[in-house]
Amino acid sequence: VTAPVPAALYRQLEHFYRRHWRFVDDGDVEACGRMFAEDAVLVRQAPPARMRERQAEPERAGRDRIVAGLRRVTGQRAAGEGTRRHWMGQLTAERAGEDVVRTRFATLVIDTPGGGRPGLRTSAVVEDVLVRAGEDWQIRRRRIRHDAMV
Amino acid sequence: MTNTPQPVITDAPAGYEEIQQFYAHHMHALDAGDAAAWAETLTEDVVFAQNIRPEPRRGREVVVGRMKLGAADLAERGVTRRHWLGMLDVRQRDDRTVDARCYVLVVETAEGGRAGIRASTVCADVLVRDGGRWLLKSREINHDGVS
Repeated sequence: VTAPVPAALYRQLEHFYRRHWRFVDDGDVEACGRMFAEDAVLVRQAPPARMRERQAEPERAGRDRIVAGLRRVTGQRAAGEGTRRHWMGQLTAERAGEDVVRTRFATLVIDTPGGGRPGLRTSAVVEDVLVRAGEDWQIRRRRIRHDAMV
Repeated sequence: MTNTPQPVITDAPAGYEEIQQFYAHHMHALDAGDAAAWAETLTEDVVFAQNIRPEPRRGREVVVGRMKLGAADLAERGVTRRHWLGMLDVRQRDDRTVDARCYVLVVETAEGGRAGIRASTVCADVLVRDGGRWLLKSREINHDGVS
């Protein structure tokens, strides 16, 4: 068991992620993109059907490609797939150097079709490597692993 | 006399973020089936009670043994279980003891990726300070919809 990070840092990270998921769910692709480092890498492990559906790639390197992926998914939703909300919980944080923090948390994706009932879509665990960027943080590496992946 | 405005919202108790981090580690270890890491979050004499079971389980060995069985069963069925924690209320009992109460939603995902809510519960925990960390000393789990 690693030592807890200081309360002030933990609160800062919680604030970072509140903004992050707000941007994702609002479809604010530009603001969301700025939360990734230029050389960020996004790794995704999801069932094959899900990967096809969102034309996801197992690994996407560079902010531009990550933003392009976000834009496509946001566009699909705007075109009639309804609303998506990311809930996150059980955030752990561990310092990995002066300006580097490793985090891990669970996410629940809740989709609501237009005029329909909300439903759980995905439960996953996300692991991030965050690097300090001025007063704020940026995601340098993200690994998303859907639950029940064999 | 100065007219000092009274705070409307009081701060969370000192150490709240430590308790949040305790739970995050505790639940990740549980859901990962990492019995050794999970055991490190419990006191030797930990007590687990549930309103769906007549007798509480007592002692780390018994509680961890049961957790291993549960993890093996889930793995065999290809199901991932996640304990979601929210509405955490922490009250200081003394220097080294807190009462923590939270809601826990149990979310399960079967192979293929379909997630569903399996249980809604309320957890009443007692945590004790041990050196630089917190440990779970007792837990009372009340499943909703069970009288």
